[in-house]
Amino acid sequence: MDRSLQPSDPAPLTGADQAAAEALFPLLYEELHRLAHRQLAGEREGHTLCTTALVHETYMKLAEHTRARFSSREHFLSVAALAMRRILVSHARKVHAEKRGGGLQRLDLDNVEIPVHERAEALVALDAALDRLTALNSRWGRIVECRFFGGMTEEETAAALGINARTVRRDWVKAKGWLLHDLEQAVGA
Amino acid sequence: MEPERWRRVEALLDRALDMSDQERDAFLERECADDPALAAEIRGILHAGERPDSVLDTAAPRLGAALLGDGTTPPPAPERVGPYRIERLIGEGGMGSVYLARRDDGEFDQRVALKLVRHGLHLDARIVRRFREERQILAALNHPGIATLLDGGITGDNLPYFAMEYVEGLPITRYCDARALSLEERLGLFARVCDAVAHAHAKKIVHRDIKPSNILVTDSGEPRLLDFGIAKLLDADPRSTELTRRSERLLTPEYASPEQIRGEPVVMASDVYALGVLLYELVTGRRPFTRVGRNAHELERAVLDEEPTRPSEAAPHEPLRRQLRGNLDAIILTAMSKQAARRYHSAAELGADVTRHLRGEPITARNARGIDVARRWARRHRIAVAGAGVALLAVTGAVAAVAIREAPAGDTGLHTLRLSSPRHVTNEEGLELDPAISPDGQHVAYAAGPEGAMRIFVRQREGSRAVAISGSLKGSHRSPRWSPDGTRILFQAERGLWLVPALGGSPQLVIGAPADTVTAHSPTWSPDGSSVAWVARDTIYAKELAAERPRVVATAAVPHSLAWSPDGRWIVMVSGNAEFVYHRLGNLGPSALYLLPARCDAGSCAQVLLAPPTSLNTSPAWLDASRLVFVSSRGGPRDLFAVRIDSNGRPLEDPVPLSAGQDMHTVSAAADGRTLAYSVFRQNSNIWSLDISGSAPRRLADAVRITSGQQTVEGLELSADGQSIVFDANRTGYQDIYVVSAAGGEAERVVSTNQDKFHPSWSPDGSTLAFHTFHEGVRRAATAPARGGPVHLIRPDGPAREEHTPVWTRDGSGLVYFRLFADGAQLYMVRRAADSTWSDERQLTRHGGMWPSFSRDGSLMAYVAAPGVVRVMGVDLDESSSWVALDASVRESSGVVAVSSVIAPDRETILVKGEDPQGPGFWRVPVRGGPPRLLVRLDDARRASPRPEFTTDGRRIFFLLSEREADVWAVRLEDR
Repeated sequence: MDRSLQPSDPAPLTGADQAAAEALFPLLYEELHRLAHRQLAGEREGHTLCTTALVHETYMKLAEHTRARFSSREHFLSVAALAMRRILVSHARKVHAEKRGGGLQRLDLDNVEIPVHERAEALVALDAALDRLTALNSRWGRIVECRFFGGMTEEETAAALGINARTVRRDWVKAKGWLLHDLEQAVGA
Repeated sequence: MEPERWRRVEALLDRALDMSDQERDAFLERECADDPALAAEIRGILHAGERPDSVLDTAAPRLGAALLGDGTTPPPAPERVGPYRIERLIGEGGMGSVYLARRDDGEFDQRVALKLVRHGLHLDARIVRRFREERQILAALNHPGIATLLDGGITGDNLPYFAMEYVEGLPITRYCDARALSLEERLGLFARVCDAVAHAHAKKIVHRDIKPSNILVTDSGEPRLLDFGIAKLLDADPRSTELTRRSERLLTPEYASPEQIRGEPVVMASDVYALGVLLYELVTGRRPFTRVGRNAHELERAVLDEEPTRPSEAAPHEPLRRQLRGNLDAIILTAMSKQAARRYHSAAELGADVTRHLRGEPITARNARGIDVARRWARRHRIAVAGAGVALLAVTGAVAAVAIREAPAGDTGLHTLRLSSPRHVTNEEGLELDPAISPDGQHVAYAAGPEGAMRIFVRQREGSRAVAISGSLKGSHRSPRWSPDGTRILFQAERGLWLVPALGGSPQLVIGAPADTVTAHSPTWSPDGSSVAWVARDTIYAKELAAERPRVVATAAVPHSLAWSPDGRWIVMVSGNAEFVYHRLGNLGPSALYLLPARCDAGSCAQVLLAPPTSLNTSPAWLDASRLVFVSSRGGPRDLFAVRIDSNGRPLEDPVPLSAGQDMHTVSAAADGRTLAYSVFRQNSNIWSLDISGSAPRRLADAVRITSGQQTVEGLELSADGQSIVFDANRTGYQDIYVVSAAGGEAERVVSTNQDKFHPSWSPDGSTLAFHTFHEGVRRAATAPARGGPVHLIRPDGPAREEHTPVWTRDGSGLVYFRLFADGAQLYMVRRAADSTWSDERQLTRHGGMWPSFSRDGSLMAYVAAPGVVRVMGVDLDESSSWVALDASVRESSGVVAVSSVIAPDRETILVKGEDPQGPGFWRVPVRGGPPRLLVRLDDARRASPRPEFTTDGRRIFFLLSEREADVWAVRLEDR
């Protein structure tokens, strides 16, 4: 459906910020996606795409409409990080889906395709590992989402998740280590 | 990982984190004397985590650039690989590259396709293993329809490669079109593809990536199946299964079966599904779910949720439609059944049916499965059949019975469960939610009434009058829960959780909320009735009713909808999307189900994931100590699923669907685990009108219905003569364009295509409609004759830029639309030239613009520059001539913030939709500026649509209201 111009809905009864964030997720997702596509379409030449910039740009765009829904900018960014994760991973899957058959596909000169490369696969593998980590420790999972996908600083992450910066710093080392270790195990298994 | 082991890992990581390498080694040696592998793991994790420049520290921006923007250059091609001389690169895959090569060592002279693992891949060990699997699979196959494996080896750089027969040909779809093959020839070719796939199936190999680009047809008309890159050997060792399952997530959604999209195990029937899609495309020229503007995610949802349009309806012309009707519809829809068990069991069966059809013999699809196909069609068309109110309910009831009889078998321990004898417990207008069936299964408690002020009612399962039991407490009363002895009901209302006798009485506050601004919600009883658990903020509390203080069980992200297990061991909870249960019922955001040990103290226990947050999963209810039901959107619509757990709380298998297409909201179960109550929730939007010629503000209650039906309407516009309204609606699944009399009545569909069309606008002479549609993901303006006819983009070769909500200028020579940017929207105009082409796009605004509308004489255009700012532009459509009719300063005096506007035809006033501190409404503003006057107060939050669109002739206003309907049903769960 065509929803991009819908004004924000009334605040939720539960009063829970998190619930509000979820309600806004589709709007955010669409906005981020649109910006990403705009980059693809080359509408704004000269800009190198950067997920962090995208997330912050989305914040600028939606801040006016959404300030009632979020307790803080950091809180918004953490939700945007989740949206960014979904977008990047779904793109990664698409890149793979459109890969030149593993085999004998003739090269279509008139059909320019997105180059296929291993990064897409790495990202999909990381996404799965992050799901596993989140099942074990959801706070670590959220920290990785904020830091990696949202490009947030330690302080921003701490503010968004309502924990102190030292905890973020310590958890980040552990979560990062677990993920890298898990991915390496998958390789070596 | 075992929860206990994980707790140990967490504790060790935490303590070892701050130590030097030496300290750490000594510490781990001491602590992990019993488990050296654990010490190695902790060391490995910390080493990896302390690397400052790991991929996780640096890669996100680069990943974004690589995936979304600038690509990378392909690696340089090697000159030689083993005995082969590389001629050129012909393809690239995730694992490596494919080259055209020639063997030139004198033994053979043959062109081959040579597949080589790419050098230096990040995850190469895994890829190498999958590469070897592909080679093994190819080696096992020997069929003229499958490209042959010729040779394989390892390069000097230790990179594995293999060589295959080089196939020169075209993808099967392009071949058929290039040769203009007849329907019979296409079917014959398809049957041969089925033969090749059947050969693989006979070797227990599933291809898993069947699509046109993997089936080349040679000049001599031989089809060749390629790319077993993600094929899977059924019954292979579990490690390899895990690998291939991961890679499944990479498929193209257009040919992926529902089970592949859900990440469930693939079976031969997954290939049958893809062959069904292929046949669909071969005979109709269309892919069943591909629609302009759909992204991969939406496509995936469609594969899960939507029934494909019948091939005979999708076909481009009538003679072909006639040929497809009957057998071929049945064959394709059988192959494409959402449930694997309903498809042909193998490619051989499918091929055989196609051959039977070609020979004029009776096919099996109709005999065995035709009834199913018919039923599924009946279900899909309930949208078209259903009218409003009572008719809707009656049809829904019938559908429930059909859908439930069809509940799938599956092959798990839950497969014998069946729902039977569904019946309405409530069918009043409005919302009846949160059904709780009494422990003895005889009564149902539920919440009903206006949103924000719901009350708890009890009635017998078999009808009878409803009794209000929750009294006059403030706030909305929700979440009734019967005490295990059936004598009392716990529910949430102002200030906390209240207990009331089941037959009514004075409610007693038993659990106070921690603060005025926090609700205590989601109550559940312990099985012995001595304790309750509930949620406040992010914390799950439990308390013996007699005790002073609660204890903290755990904390979680947005916990809600708790249910204590009958054996007292577990509390199941939902994490995420509390809004779906408590507020915005249409919010289908994801949520997860977790089990936590009920004895857990202050979050010290690991939570067991029952359903991941990849879809909406909510409202768990226990059938017995090892089986639960819950509502999930994992199958598309919101349906009931069952899951079994082992003694550690882990799910034993994937959840099994018990219903189909029911749009459920929440569910509860009686103590016998056999009687369930659930609510069904649906939402529509329709056009209503109010006479605004009087001086007093109107109320929503006086609004008159113009359209009815199960549909979502987004855009609407009154014709110049004020007699008709054109609007878009999704009655058939696609957003089509309809016209209805401004006095109400039956709407007529005037433009219908297999893509969504939004915001229609009449040309001044009423002959042509303009609207926007999605073209390659971008909103593009298009036109079609108002009496029906083909749809044309106005600028088919124009740049892929948004043309949102095109509106005709009053002389019929121009269209004004808006385009969204990061910092707002701007208005643009194009003109129609003498040769009927549209060109000369001109930007009209630089300070924001959306929702343009013209006065009848065409001399003025009103638009919204920003929320709260309505501007008016003179006839020369130049922003320098515009003035502000309603601006942000009005917010100070009147408090009205406008979100959309329409200028009245007489050009004296502008009508705006907006919001003031009292809530949303419509106001009238003088064109030359001045205070807004209230016309309509949208005083019913349940019905007011948040959409900005409306239309007016100055005397009447036409706008959208949503209708939300939720009813309670009771059903028996039988175990056959």
